[in-house]
Amino acid sequence: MGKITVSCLLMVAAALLAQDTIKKPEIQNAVLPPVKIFKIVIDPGHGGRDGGAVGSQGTKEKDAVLEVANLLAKSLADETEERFKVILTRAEDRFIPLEDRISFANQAGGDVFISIHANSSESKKDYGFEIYYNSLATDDSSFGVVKRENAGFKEKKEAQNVDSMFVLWDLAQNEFQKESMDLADKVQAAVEEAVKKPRANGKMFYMRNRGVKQAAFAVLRGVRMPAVLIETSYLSNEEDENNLKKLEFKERLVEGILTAIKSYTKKNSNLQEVSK
Amino acid sequence: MKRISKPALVVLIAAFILAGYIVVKLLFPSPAELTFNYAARQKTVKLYFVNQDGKLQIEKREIQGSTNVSDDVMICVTELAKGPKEKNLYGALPKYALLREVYIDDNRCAYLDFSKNILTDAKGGTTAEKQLVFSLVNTVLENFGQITSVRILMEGEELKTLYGHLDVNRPLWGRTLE
Repeated sequence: MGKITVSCLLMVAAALLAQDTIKKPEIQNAVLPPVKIFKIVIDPGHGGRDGGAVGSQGTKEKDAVLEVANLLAKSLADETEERFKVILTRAEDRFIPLEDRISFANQAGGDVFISIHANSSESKKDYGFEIYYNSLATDDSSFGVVKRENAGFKEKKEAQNVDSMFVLWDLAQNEFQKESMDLADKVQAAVEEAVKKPRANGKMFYMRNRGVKQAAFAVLRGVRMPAVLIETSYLSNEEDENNLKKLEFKERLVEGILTAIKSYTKKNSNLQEVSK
Repeated sequence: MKRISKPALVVLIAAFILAGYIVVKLLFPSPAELTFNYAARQKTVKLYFVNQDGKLQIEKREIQGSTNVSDDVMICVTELAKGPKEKNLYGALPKYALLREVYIDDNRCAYLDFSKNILTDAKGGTTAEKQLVFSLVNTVLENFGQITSVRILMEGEELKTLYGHLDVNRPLWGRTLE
């Protein structure tokens, strides 16, 4: 009788334990907060009939930036710690109007918009990378209010009322200006860090961090999320064009951009938790 | 002493006021009047080109002015498109860019209407686009105090962007290139 009781008790204990182990994963899922998935919109500039800038050795901006964008998309998808959903405005050599890129990004409900470009200048000496974010407030105004001489009299120019339509359009991006500025800052710091490391052959990339700048961009106008535009290098500069042709350089760029995105999204995940 | 009759006194006072007004106007002309009493004359204009550091730099040039502001703007922009004469300067506006028409609205915004060949060779980066836009805008604002902003049109139509980066569908003010 005692044996039966003991075996019954053991069976009950075993059943309880088994039930416990089955339930455990459910309990874990219930306790852990849901992981925020960041939708990263990557926008490789130009494409199709719009080749963008062209280097003296024939490197086309549309091809170079597509390669960087695809590398970045792959790196983001491979990330295990954080969850990213990558959305590319174009994944092939195709012309897409700017307004379509903007509406595509907005409809996808992106959290971050990253436009990738390659630069060019009339001066072949210009080189380096720079990060832009959209800004109307400071755009063009520095020149307009200075005193100028003309036809023998001095006149102080009056600030002109901007059409309200323009203001409404720009408010969409101005709303995210602080975040865009923060992201731009993170990208320039992380890209510099990644690019200045010695190369596989022990040499260094000849590169210059031209910093964070602001301008009124057509492709960032109306984008309803924090947005930056990365000018990876100058195709009009021989050294820069050589860099952009190298896979190693593109991988460094991607490494820097990835670090910046991770740091930015981590900060914003924490902010969301705090606000809860 | 002969007394001045009342009507004569009124005429005299009116004459004094008118004379005073004319003297003041001649000595201190208002900017608005200079716009309209525009004389065709030889003048020196400041044209913005790009230097070796990628920044904008002024080159002075003599032009034969016309009798109105719009035509002078056209002459000035045509000179800009010809490119620099000084060494180590580069022209940002394409040489074949043809300015069809210039008109100025009530807000003193100058509309520069280019033919579509301004985009024939449109393959530049953001910096090249900034250099083009602001060499043009700065040149117009620098030389014509009557104009407060500039808008770029192509074949009479508004234009969203030139090279696919900068938003030019708005009144543009000058700026220095940092």
